[in-house]
Amino acid sequence: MAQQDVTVKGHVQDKQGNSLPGVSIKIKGTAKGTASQPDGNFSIQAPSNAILELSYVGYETQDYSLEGRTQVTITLSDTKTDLSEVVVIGYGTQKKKDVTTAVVAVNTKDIAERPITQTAAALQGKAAGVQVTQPSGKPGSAFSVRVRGATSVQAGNEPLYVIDGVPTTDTRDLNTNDIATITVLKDASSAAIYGARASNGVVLITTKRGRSGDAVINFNSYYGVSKIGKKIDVLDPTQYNDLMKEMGFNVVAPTVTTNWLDEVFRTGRNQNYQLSASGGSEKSQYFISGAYTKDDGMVKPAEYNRRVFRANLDNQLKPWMKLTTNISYSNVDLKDVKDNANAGRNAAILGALNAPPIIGIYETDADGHQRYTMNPYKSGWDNPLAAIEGPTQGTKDNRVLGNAALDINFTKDLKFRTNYGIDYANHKYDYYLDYIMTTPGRLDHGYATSQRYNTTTWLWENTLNYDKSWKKHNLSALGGVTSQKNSYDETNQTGRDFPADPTVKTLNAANQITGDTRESQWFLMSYLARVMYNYDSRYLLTVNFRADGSSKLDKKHKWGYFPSVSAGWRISSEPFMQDVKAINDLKLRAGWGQNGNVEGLSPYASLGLNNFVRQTPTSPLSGPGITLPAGAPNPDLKWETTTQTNVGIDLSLFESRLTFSADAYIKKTKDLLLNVPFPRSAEYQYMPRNSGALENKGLEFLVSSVNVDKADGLRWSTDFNIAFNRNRLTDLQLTQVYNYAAPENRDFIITLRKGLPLGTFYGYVAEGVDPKTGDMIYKDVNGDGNVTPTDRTVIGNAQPNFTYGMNNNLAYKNWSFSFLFQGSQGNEVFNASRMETEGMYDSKNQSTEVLRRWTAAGQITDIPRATNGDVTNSRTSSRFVENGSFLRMKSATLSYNLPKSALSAMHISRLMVYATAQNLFTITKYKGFDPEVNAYSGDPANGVTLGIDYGTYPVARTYVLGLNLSF
Amino acid sequence: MKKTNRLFIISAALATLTLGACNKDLNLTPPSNTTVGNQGQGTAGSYIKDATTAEAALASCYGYFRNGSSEYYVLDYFNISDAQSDNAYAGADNAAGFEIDEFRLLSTNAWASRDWGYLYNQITACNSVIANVPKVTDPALSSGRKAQIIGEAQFIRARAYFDLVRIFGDVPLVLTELPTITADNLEQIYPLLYPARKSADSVYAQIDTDLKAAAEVVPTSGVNKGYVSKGAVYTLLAKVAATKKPVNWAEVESYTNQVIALGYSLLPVYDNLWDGAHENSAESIFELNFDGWDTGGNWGTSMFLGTDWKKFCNPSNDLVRAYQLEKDTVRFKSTITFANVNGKWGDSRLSLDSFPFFYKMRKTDASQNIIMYRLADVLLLKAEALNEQGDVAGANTIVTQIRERVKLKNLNITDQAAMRLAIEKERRLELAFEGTRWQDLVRTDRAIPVMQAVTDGKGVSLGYHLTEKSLLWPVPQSEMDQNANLIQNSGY
Repeated sequence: MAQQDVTVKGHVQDKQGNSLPGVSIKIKGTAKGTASQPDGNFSIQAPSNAILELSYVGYETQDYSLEGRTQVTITLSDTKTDLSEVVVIGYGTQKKKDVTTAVVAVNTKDIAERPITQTAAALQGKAAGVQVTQPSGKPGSAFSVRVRGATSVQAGNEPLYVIDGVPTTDTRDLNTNDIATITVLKDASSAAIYGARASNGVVLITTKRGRSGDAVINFNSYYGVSKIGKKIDVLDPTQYNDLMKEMGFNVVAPTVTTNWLDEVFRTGRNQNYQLSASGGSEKSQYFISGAYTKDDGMVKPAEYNRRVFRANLDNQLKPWMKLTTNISYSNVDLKDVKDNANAGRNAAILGALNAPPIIGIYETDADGHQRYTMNPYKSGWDNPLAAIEGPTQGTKDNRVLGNAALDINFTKDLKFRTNYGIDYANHKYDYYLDYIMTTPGRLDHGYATSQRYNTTTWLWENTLNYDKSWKKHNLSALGGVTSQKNSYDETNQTGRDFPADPTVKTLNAANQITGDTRESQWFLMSYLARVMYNYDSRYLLTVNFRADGSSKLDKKHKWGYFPSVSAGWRISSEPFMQDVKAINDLKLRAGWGQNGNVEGLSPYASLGLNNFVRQTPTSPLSGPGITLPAGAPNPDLKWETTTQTNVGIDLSLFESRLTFSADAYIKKTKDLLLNVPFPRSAEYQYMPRNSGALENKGLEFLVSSVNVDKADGLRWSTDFNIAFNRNRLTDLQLTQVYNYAAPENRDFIITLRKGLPLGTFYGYVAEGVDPKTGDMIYKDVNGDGNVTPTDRTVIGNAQPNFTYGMNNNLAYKNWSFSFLFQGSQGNEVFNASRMETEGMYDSKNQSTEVLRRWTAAGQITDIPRATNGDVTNSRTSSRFVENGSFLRMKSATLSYNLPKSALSAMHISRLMVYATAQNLFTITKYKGFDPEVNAYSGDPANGVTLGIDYGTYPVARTYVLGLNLSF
Repeated sequence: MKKTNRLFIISAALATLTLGACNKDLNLTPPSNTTVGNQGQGTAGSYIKDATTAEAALASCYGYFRNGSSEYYVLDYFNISDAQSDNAYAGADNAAGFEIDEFRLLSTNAWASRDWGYLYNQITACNSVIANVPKVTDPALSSGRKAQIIGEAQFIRARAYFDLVRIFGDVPLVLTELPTITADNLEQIYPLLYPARKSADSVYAQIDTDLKAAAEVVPTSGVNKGYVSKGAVYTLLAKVAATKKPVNWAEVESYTNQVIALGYSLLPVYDNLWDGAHENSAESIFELNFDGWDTGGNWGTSMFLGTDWKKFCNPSNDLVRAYQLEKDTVRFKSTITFANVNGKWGDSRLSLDSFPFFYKMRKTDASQNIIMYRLADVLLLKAEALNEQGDVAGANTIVTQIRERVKLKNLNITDQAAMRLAIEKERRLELAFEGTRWQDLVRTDRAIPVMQAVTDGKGVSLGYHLTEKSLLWPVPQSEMDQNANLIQNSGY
């Protein structure tokens, strides 16, 4: 070494003067480096003229010339839009400026300041074209994520998630505080490397990793309360009995009254405690975290308890060999509450609205046992607390997700990676009703069900990567083989007839038991290849190819081939642009590619599966009956294929203070997988078949602006995104009419037909109340003089015209304030709950809307007369289609970083306290609890069953206080 | 560089391993199901290839009575015959049920749609047996048993078509299975899925053909009355003969005689039929046997009996009055039970102090049997046949026989028209809640006048508006949507 190293001592801080721990400090041009300590200090042996390269997530990377100094203070500035920033792409990373596809790196900074328990929640409102909805506010229930609209009816529409290289479809167990980066691959050319699982986009998640240096210990916690955001008024006891009298019931005078909404809705509680430690040596780094999250819902007994543990280890085994290990374990127990059903089915939400106000909670039966009261005009309709407290129930899930990857550098340019991953989950659900308290429990003298399942997916990937740069040419090539195999088994048991003493709730105490076990497997094998080339980051080209073979399909169609190509022209790098100082970056992108989808196909979908039906044992024994398959075999079944073309532009102005992105895409799904229904006179009920085509096209805009950036530390930035998507079924073969989503004893609400978008409402056209009769007038659409079911027509649509989000960050010295708006415009909601709360067809309590009901000839009103036992006035009609547009204050956070001076004495490097409000207010004309809900999100065909509110658990308003502590 | 070479070899070996190990996994077979035919290809019934699978296939046809189509057999069967008629009100809280009870059915009625499906599902299982069992060459399957299996399936199919044709009128007459579906012929097969409706006459003709074939081969008796026997086949032949127009009463008489000749006898005590202690009795001809939940339990009892919630098919004031006027206390007690339901639910027609329930299903442990055909039904059908042929005295003898058991006096009617009404009433009182009333009224052209005359407990008309079109249900809209070849019944 030409020059003697000296000891350099330094301190790293942000613009507000807060110490930054864990900043990576490298001596430029060498592999030598360290990281800043919890107090922001560091010490490094370096040549006195060395350049230090400082990098830290969320901050501008900075080169700092020592120029002989040995005592330095370095201030890092927040990331504006850093063009040298690296984004995670499939099987690698890429410089942001070289990206030619539609990918979006989601800001994850706010995760630590919001009561977010699921990855999808962190995406909400953040990325153009990524529509995240919360179909149910129930703790632990899944979000619905649509990347550029739905591409499928029944083969699945959720994106593929890849956590540290392991693909999965369920991220509910992932501790959001462990997340380092989230990248959404929106177009086909970015997602094509994931081939057959990627037609709904891919969400790449990386988790936090350790850095060399002293340990950094973080403690994060919040505590909050949640409440229903809106109330619906129901009839009081007098008004209720007036209605009952009008409907012909012998009215009983109430001795006790109950406000059921008060009984059912409570104040929920949100808690989170997380402890993590990270650090390591130059050769080995660790990140270890553990967290406990508890979410007690605003409706009893809904609760979600999650314990998670993660260990991420990096070991440089040899200079040419690195081992990366990630392992996470989660343990979740959840208590469900029944929703999405009517009060007659003992569901909680409609139960609260429909329970008569003229009864108490408990009553004593003839034998002196206490039990839940019932509707006095309709025994068997237990009050909603029977649904809430009656069952002893709960779900327990254990999951291990992890991988070990070995990176071998053959040469500087040629690298081999082998990655073995595993995703194992076991699930346990038990439900017990005693024989006294509830109607369904009494029916069977105690009833219990028990479900168990295990699912294991292993993944093995072997990839070769070749990177070469010469002159201004940059080439990166990737090739690989991957395979995945899933094994699933389940056990279901139902028991009836339990002992009178309800102490023992397990099935060994059931006198009658039925049950079964089932198993299935699938296998996916893939070859993948990619070449990325650019000339001077000016002319960019990426070509992908993936071949996937699936066990779900028959011989002839096992293999699907998914190519893609994308190109970019970075105009700002052209010599003629060098004088245009205002433009930092200007890039045109275009891409084309194909992806597949068989996610929603059952493992043996192409086969006709005989089933078994038990018969009375014969003598001699001869086994069960064998039944015909429900699904017809289809040897011609193949992948659903989505072809997407994307063009985009990225523009960055005024030293990246204003950035702008726009994308336009057209996405065509062919060979749409549908269970083509057969008439009931055929021996099969349906055939899984590629039987249609679907199109999504849209525009997405993203604007980021640093509005204010004062030297005194005042900074205000705004990110705005808006997306327009149009969706249409362009082809339907064979059967021309598909219907979905029929609430109990009602007509279906959703229809799927050629030329119409997914989520089209279908029904009668309501034309108001006939002042003469008090009955609804329905339009005779076909003009045949009668109103019959053939007069039903299209009455609405759940697809929004556009969705948008806006995030603002204000920072001044130690204070920061951020707020996120999110909205949807032009979508309609079918409020099926109102069929139950305004239907007036039986003895359920109703909303105060029915005070306007027709009662006398000549009365002009919008609410028809009460008709006991007749639902003609509340048919599936345009009467219940509502404007579902909304603008929501999704989140607002005020945070304060305690000054360093106050902390150093306690050896604390950072202490931030914050207050956050989620869903503070929602501006909407929607009459129900919340327009975002969807009662049919769990339907297998949830690509079409959109926008229906049917006693759905609404999204809560939440206030939390939290602190993030580092030392 | 040597090291690098070694690594190359190792990784190449690893990669080869992945490639090689996996190809067989692309052809996974289901662990929990068998697949139709060879490699999942073949007709739906192609699994039927030897004696055991032939028996298993037949077992599945029976299985529909208590599993696949149980909602029809333990619930809707009674709603159709009794709630739709003057025997009962719909009860419970289902809008679809009220629509049926009050003759304001729409083609979107959920019960109409499901019942169409339940019956066709059972038919297609039978079609599969009838198409494939004859091809079985397994020596373990004797030719006698082979013929029996086919005959039993033909009976089950005929029974289902008989219900379909009475509920919907003309219906698609599907008797064969679909050909093997291959990658190439799907487009050709598809039209076969959309059969048009066939005239009721041709459906009846097919029912006759099936039953006559079955009569030749099915055994005289089985392990219990749950299996098809000659008695069941002749009973159904008699019922069909009494229903299809024009009625050949001599034929009806002849079939009833065939049944009677098989040696069935009336139980001396009427209530023994329903007390749960005399299942598969000497009077029973065809009886759905239920054992418990594991083999598909009968959950019907709790649909009709009990005060925990308002039950389906509440006996009407009109029926209660009919028993009272006849002083028919024996059958009244066996057929209807009462309970005080004050504070449990409301009802505009029935007394809450003594609210009536059907009482012919009593066991709540899922093992309640359902007697589908019994001798008294056949005897009364014979009486009808005799009366229609002018033998009023012969009819009177039979009616007397039926009445004697329940301690009612001899009618001694000599006028044919009076005897016709007497038999109608006798059938009503004897067979209430046994799946016959509505169909009896329709086949004797009595449905419209009888239903329009129905009054409530105070003698006030219930105002049922029936027309000729009300006698048939609409073809379910969901089937109409699928199948352009279906034409809707008039009036819907």
